[in-house]
Parts: sequence; structure tokens; C-alpha cells
Amino acid sequence: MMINVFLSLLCAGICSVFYRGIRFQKSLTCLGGGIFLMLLLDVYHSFLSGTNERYGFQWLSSRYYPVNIEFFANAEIYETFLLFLFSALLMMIYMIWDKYERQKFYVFALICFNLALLLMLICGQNTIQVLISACFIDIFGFCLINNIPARRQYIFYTLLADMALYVACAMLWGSFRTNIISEIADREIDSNNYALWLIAIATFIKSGLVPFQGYLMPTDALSISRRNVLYFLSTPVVGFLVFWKMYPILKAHFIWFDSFSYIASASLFIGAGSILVIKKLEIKKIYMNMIFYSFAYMMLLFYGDTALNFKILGSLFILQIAVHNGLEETKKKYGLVCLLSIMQMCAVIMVCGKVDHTLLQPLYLLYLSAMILGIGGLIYEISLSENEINNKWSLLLSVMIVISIIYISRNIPENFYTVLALYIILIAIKPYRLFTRLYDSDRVQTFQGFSGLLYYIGAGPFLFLGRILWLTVDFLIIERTLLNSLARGNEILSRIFKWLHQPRLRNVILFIMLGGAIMAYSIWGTK
Amino acid sequence: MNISQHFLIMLIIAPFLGFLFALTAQSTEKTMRHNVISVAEFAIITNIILLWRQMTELDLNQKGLQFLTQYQWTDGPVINVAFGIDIFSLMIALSIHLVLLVSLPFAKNSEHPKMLVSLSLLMLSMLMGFLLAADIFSFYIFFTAMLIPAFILVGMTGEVRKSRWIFRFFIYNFIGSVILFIVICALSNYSKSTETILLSNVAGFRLPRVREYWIWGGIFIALLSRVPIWPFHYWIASISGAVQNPIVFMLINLLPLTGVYGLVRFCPKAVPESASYLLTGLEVIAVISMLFIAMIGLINKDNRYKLFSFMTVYCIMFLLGALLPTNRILLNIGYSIFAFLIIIAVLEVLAAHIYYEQQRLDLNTYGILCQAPRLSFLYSFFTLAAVGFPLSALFINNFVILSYLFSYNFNLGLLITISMIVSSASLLKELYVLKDNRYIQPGSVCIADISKKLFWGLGIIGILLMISFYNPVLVLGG
Repeated sequence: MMINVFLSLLCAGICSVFYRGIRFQKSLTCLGGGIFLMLLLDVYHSFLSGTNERYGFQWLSSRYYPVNIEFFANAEIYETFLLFLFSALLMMIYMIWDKYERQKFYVFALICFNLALLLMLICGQNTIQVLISACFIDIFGFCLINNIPARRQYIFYTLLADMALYVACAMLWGSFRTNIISEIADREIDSNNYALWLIAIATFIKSGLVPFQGYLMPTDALSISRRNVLYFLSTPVVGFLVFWKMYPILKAHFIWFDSFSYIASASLFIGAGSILVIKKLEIKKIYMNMIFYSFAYMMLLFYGDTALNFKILGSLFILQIAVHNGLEETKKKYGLVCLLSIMQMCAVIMVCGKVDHTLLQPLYLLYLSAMILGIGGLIYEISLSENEINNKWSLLLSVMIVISIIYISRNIPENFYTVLALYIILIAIKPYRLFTRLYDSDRVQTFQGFSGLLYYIGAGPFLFLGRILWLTVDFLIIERTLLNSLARGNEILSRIFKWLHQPRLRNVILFIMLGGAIMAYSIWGTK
Repeated sequence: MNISQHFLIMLIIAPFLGFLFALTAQSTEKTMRHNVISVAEFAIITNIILLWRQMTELDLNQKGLQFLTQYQWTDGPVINVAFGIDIFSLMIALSIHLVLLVSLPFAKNSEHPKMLVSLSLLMLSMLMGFLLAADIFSFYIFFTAMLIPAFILVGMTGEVRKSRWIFRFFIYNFIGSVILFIVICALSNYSKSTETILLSNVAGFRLPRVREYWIWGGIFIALLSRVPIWPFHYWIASISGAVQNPIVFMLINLLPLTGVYGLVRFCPKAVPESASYLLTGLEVIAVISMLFIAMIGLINKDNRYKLFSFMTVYCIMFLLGALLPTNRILLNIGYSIFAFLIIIAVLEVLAAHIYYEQQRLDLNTYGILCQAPRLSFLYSFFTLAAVGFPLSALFINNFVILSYLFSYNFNLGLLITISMIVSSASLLKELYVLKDNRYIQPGSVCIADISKKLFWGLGIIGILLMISFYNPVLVLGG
């Protein structure tokens, strides 16, 4: 079943990637949406039938390094993939009315490829399958970004992330001689194994958590359709999925685990703060995504990879897409789709509501505070300030988001009124006015401290050392000292031989004596 | 002697005959360019078919050289020469042929196409002899003989700006050859029997400890004089930066691989104790050189220097992988080299096109690719393949090599990884200098895009590389 879906997506992608015409864009996008709908129904049918399936083939049959590609699917995997198929369908609907996107069918092809690779990643049982899917998705992400500065940032960050993941997988293979995740998790991993650290760094870079969010900032120049694919079906989500797949290996080490949770928490707070002080709406949305992904990481770090957590994250994921698109432009259709998304989310939450939430309480509060702060800022922006963003649908959407979040917190009755009160106070006293003053500050709006820091810490020493070594070793020691000495020595030897070969009597005597000495040595010296 | 053994000799003879034909081609300007290139293409394709034939006959599970063929060279003293082949040498040989085939169209733009092509064929013939050599004499002969066409190529057609670089090239390689000659003489003196001294038997020689130290030290210095390890890196760095012709650039940059290949052949896993001490020292110097050259590549603005630094980093990684105390990854190194050489050759061809166009129109480097979509697509694709994205056999095979390096020595693996990242970053940096469209004004002069024929030719190579990612042996017909 899953292999059929994988192949269908690949075929759809290959057939559509070469179409670069401008005509029939809308019709073809509808056709693409239809394909996703059919696949969605198909996978949903398999999900309802509740069958586990496993399809695999041996990719590398080497004695020393066998690699299997597997499409293992159970209820959890069906559900996860359904989430991405549904997201893809939403994106296709949004794309129909996206007037800035001229190559809609090309974007559809990239969605197909990304979905196929996400499926491969989700079904993967070994590190190499996870690694290959993650790297391939980055290549398609590279193709998706049609803005040079954004592409430049993207490729440098993803190169770092992919190399970190690549090296981590190589280290794990070198240590355990197996690439099956469950087998590695069963082994005793040394706490000094840097592979765990590298995996975490790779996933954080991909998801754009602090301090690696810089690569997503220039993507605000892309069309909304491309941004949708990039944020929700490409690198950031892949980061989280890789973390989820590697979770059985990572969870063995609590020392690292604490460090990861600090980074995720820092991302959440910095995301919330940045939404308030940054003027540009596209950037605000990037920070909202950062809040979402950091929340997702924290859920996984604190409460594990339970089915409940995934249901909650899945619903929030759809909500995030709705927020992202709902705030884009005045379009009734967008509002309609947002409404549909939120209804879907509420349905999932109703299921989740039956489960005890006491464990999740503190984390929920944290996330709610961040989101409420952020969304409050957006509502202020839309309704109360003199900003050009005056969008009824966006306002409606934001209100609905708040209602939905309050709906989630209904399961935590003791905090519900506190949260509501806090929110009303926030709206009433308009603390956002303090932050809007920063809108005029160029220093704040163009602040790229983290990217700059990373550049100076990461690339700076290499650039500095490279220049110093080039000047000292290459130029001073080799060029000026060694080679010049050689050339000088050669010159001196030439002069000596020239002097010896001058037609003078003393030279003739010298050569005769030399010949005599050699003869004497050959006669008496060797005896 | 079966037919496969004759094929080995044919692999050396075919390019040599091509060299003779190209050299005697009619010297009229109108026909010369096409004639010599056609002859070269024919010779190279013939050899590729012969190699493919050998590939189907090879037993991939058998260790050591296969189809061993011996010839008596001289009667007094009795000197025999032997040739053989294994999958490792075959992969390198095949990639060298493909590299030449990719770069050959650029011979048309050269001032001396006849000399360039004929000397390239002569060098190919010598390289084949070197790769097939199974004994120390034939190894030395081809090791040194390949320098003759290399010197002439650099001197005559390499468009080198300063003669002192040729002097460095000569000094380093000459010293290496002389040292190897002394070592070969010493080894043949210690071998009391009249049998052929096979390369694989050298490690088994029982020598006095001090002499063993000197002999192995000599072997290492001779072979390392070819590899860009400090302080030997300087000759090849200078030449690489100065040579503007893609054929000459690639042929000169194949010389370091001959050093790596030589060490693989000389150092089977049971090396004497004295050599194992030297190996440790070699590892330390190699990894420092690697990091050093990667950093210089990052700050250097010359595209060719960046390519050179990238090649050096990978070359040293292959060397360190080959010197590990295991035979298991030799095949992976062969596959990696196969993909690596093809990627670099294509990048060099594209870089040469950009350079020529830039010189012709007197343009700045920034954003030069923006108006040439075919060129831009191929340059991006091959750069991504080079830096390690899963687009070629390089990805999975380097993964295995790195995993073994990490399990052997963590610090070594870490430094190699850092060097790889730095050299990859320098290639990407160059790509975005070429694609930076901020300075491009509408209506400004643009470079000519590559022809459709070349685009599809290189595109097919790209597809071949992607298939090699899936399965390298499948591509090669094994």
C-alpha cells in the first residue's frame, strides 16, 4: 500500500516537473489537488482497516554494509502521513488563488517529491533511510526557493545540518556496525558519543530553532505557496521528524536531553518576543512557526513519542498552516479553508480531551502563553494599530485561534480562568504599544545577531587561520624560504660547475687528479 | 595466457596508438582539430569498451590482482614485468577515461590542439600502464614515464603564466622519481631470487631494521611527492591555480591520485613494524595538510584553487581510508573516486567555459550564471553532488569510509569531517558568487550559455552519476 503511494507520488512528480508553461495553471493545480484527495482517501481507507504492513527491499547487498529500504506502516505511521497529505491538499487549495505564483504545477511536482520522501522518512527503520530522505528533501527545498539570497542562506545551513547528520550516522555505524535504529537503541551507548549531540544539532538547524533561525528569514520574499511547502512539508518539519525517528537512541542520555530542552525553551521565548518587536508580517509568521516547532520538540523531550502527543501536534500543525495562510491576504476562500482546518483541529482535540492532561499542564501553559502573546500582538496589529494590515478575515481567524487554544485549555480548568484573565488584561492594557515603538528602529528590525554570531564562531576562525597560514606557511616558509633556498642552491652549483669547466690549466689538473682518485679508489678502496 | 590477459596490454597500447595517429595527423588548420579529437575519442571509447569487458570477467570477491600476466624484459640481469587488474584499479581507470572524454571538447579552443590531444593520449597510456603494473619495475617505469607528457603539457599548452611553477613541478616530481629509483634498486638487490618482484610482496621482505626504515621512508617520500601533503602541496597548488585548460588541469590533478594508488599497492595490511611508525606520522601530516589546504581554499578567490583544495581534501581522505588496517573499504574508495573524478571534471569544464567567456567579454564574476540557465543548472547540480548531497556514488561510499575512519580514530575522523565541510563551503561560496544577481543590470552583457549538445552530454553524465548513487556496480556492468 505505502509503496504504491510512494510510487504514485514519484510518478506524479516526474510527470509534472517538466511542465513550465504558463497556461492551464489553475486547472492543473485543481488536478493536483484531486490527486492528493484520492491518495488521502486511499490512505485513510488503509488506516481505517487497521492493517500493519511491511514492504522492503535490499538496496545495498554489500557483505559489510547492507542497507534495506523499508516501507513499514502501522496506525501511527498512517496517521502521521495522513496529516501531511491533508496539509498538501490544503496547500493546493491555497495555491489556486495565489496570484504571485506563476509556476504552480512545478510547485505541485515539488510537493509530490517532498511527500514521497516524507513517506520514506516516516516509514524508515534504519538511519541511512532517514538520512537519505532528509538530504533529498533539502535538494528539493533548494529547487523550491527561487530567491538567490534565500537560497544561499538555505544551502549553507542545510549543508551544515546534513553533514552533522551524515557524520552522526557514520559514527553510529562505526560504533555499532548496524544501521537499524531499534538495534542501536538497544545497545549501551557511551555518554561521550557525540553522534547524539550531532543529531540534535542537525535537527535544530533544520527546524530553524535558536540560534539557527537565520536561514528562514530571507524566505519571506517567496510566494505564499512556496513558503507553505518550505515550512510545512520540507526542511523544518523534516528536522522534527528526524528527531522523532532518532528519539529511541537519543532518549538514553539525559545529560544531552536537558541541553536540548534548554534550546527548545529558548526558541519558544525568543520566538514569542520577536513576534512582538518585528514589524514585518512575513517575519512574524516565521517566528510563529518557530514557536510551534520548539513546542513540538519540548513535547517530545518531556513527554515522549506517545500517540496523544502526536494527535495534539498534528492538530496544531494544521492550525499553524491555517494561521500562516489566513494572515496572508483578503480572500474569502482562505477564511473558509482556515475554518475547515480549525474544525478538524477541534475534532482531534475532542479525542485528546478524553485523556488525562495533568502531565502536559506546565508545557501547555508555556506554549499557550507564547501563542497568546504572539497572537495578541497580531490582533493588535490587525485591529487597533494603523498598520496597513487591516484584514477582517485575519482578525476572525486570530479570534478563532484564541478560542481554539482556550478550548484546549478547557481540559485544565484550574488554569483556564487565569489564562483568559491574562489574555483580557493583555488586550486591555495594550502592552503592545511599548513594542510597536521598536517598529521604527532599524537596528531591531534588521537585527541578525544570531546569524552574525554563527558566522563569527563558525566560519570566522577558518577564514582567519586560512589567511594567516597562507601568508606564513605558503608564502613565507615555502615560497620565500624553501624554494628560494633551492633556487639559490641551484644557482651556486651552476656557478661552481661553470667555474670548474673554464678552459684553465688548474681545472685540467683538478679533473686529472679527480680521475686518478676515482681509479685509485676502484682499485684499492673496494678490496 | 587467456584472452583477458591480452586485453590488459591492449589497454596500454590503444591510447598509445591513438597518440601516434594524432601526432601524425595532417597539420592543416581546417581538419586538424576535428581529426585529432576524433582519433582521441575513438581510442578512449575503445578502452572504455575493453574495460567494460574486463569488468564482466572480474571476480569481485577475489582479493588481489587478477589476470596476472608476466613478460621477461631482460635476460641479464633477469628482469620480469607483470600486469594485473582488480576492481579498484579498474574503477580508477574507467573514471580517468570518462574524465578525458568529458574534457576533450575543450581541446578545440586550445592554441595547440594536436599537441594537447596527442600528449593527453600518451599520458593516458602511461597512466594505464601504471594502474595495471603488478611489479616494481613496471610500476617505476610508468610512474616516471607519465611525467614526460605531463611536463610538456604544462609547459606548452597549460597556459601557465610563470615558468618558475614548471620548475617547482619538475623539482618535486624529479626528487620523488629519483628516490623511488633508489628504493627499487635497493629492493631488487635484496631480492635474491630471479622471480618477478610483485608489489604485493614488498611488504613481506625481511630486511635489516635500519635499512627497512630507510627503504620504507623512501617509498613514502617518493609516493607522497605526488600527493599534496605538506610540504609537497606547493607544486600542484601553483600549477592548478595557473593552468587554464580543463584537460591539462584534470591530467595534472590525476597525479596525486597516482600517489594514493601507489601507497595502496605498496602497503598491503601487513606492513613491517618500521613502516607502521611512519604511517602514524603520515596520518598526522596528512590530516593537518588537509585542514590547512581546505582553509586556504576558503579564503582564496580563485575558482581553480578552490577546486584544487576540494580535490586535495578528498584525495587525502581516500589516502587515509586506504591506509586503514582493513581491506573492506577499498571497493568503496574505488567507487568514490569514480564519482569524484567525474564530478570534478564536469565542474572544471564548466568553470573553464565561464573563464573563457569572462575573458572574452571582460566581465565580473558576480552573477555571471544568472543569464545562462543551462550552465547554471549544471553547475548547481554538480556542485551539490560534489559537496555531498545524495546525487552520486560519492554519498554512500564516503559514508562508509568516514564510518571506518571514525571507528579507527575519532579525532582523525573529526578533522577530516571539518576539512570536508570547509572545502564544501568554499565550493558553495563560489557557486553563489557566480549566481549573485544583485549587480546585474537589465540589458547588461551576458555570457553565452553552453550549447544544447554539451548540456545534454553533461546531463547524461549527471544521470549516470545518479544511477551510480543507486548502484555503482550496476552502472559498470559488474
